[in-house]
Amino acid sequence: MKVKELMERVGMTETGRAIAYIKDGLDEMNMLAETHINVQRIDIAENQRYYDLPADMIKVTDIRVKNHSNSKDEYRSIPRTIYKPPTEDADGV
Amino acid sequence: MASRRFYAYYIRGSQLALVEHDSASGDGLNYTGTDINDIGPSGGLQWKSPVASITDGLEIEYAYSPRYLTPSKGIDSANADIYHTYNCWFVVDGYLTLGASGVSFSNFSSIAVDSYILIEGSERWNGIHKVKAIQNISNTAHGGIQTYTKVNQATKYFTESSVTFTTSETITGVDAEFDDIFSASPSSNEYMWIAGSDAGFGFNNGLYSGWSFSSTTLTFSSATFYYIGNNTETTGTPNWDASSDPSVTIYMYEAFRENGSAKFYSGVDVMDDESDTIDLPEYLAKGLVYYVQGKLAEDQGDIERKEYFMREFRRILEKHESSKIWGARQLAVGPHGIR
Repeated sequence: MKVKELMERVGMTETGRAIAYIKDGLDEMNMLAETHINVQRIDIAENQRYYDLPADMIKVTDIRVKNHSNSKDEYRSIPRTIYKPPTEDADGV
Repeated sequence: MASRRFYAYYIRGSQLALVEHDSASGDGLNYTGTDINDIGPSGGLQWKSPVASITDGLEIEYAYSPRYLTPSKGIDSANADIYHTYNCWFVVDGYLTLGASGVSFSNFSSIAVDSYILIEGSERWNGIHKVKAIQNISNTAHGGIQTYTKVNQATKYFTESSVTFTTSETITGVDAEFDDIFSASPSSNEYMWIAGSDAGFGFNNGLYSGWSFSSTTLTFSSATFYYIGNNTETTGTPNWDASSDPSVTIYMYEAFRENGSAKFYSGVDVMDDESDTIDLPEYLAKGLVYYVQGKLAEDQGDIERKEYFMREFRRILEKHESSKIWGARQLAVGPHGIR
């Protein structure tokens, strides 16, 4: 569907406002039920605890790490901790 | 063979915190157990920041908003490429700037001011960015592509006028304050982007690590130079040209090297006018119509109509999700379930 067709269906004439709402709708849609998925790989650095999440991320669907619970270079999902560890990290602020 | 590891994560603000279980096991006369100070009362101290570096070790799968149409990976020999490699990013006047040693992005016809680029494979900047400025690699204040994306991060920057590139792979005439900003003996993961030299493609300007600084001399004889050629990053010794820079102004930026797979598409078609296509299945596009109608009703203060349209929006989403599942639904027994 084109933006123009959607505008005609809802009876809008302001393009900027329509596009802003469409973008909001696409965000909301991906928050509720993922329509577009991407995968990003990041180098793990020794003693670095914090890693930036992708700039265009709406919602995390999985986090996997190479060799987690295996020694075959497979990427496997890792669990989320409820409490953060009491040890200090090298890059902590 | 790689060793078996155990990780977990938690979220801290907009960052992901990765922790690893650091345990030692073994037997025999030479076995050295884990120190009691590293275990803690319940073993909690054994969870710590990753204990080893792993290339491409962390994989994040995520949903994103389809506000653009991904173009084809076009590369040709006539500077009409739309698929490019860059090897670092740095910050110029608070804006995200992409750098690629040895590449002048200003030569490509599809990269223009106010056009859009789509980054993929970056450790941080995947997605759409609008181009603010493009500079040649030689004799410019930063080189590369400056975008309109603001970076809320304090990064290092140093500039010096009247420096000299010497034949012994040094830059002389650098103020002693340099090591108040940058490290005089940087670690292996500290990078610097140099701009301003008059030298041509692939010489002097670009991404470095492993420099050293003493008095007023910045030495690169043992440094590593990261160079982009044929859309691939190669590393080597610096390509030094002392003949063209007897007295120039140079600009040094703290750089963040991408992991070698960072690319971007130029001339990307983003959703900004009526003729653009919404990248959704036809059925979900109908849900989007309900969403926009709901927002319009909300603007008009008609909450009842807004609730109706939003309910329809969610109903279409749910029906679309259900439509992809066929057959009986069963719950699998978990790995720790009692059988």
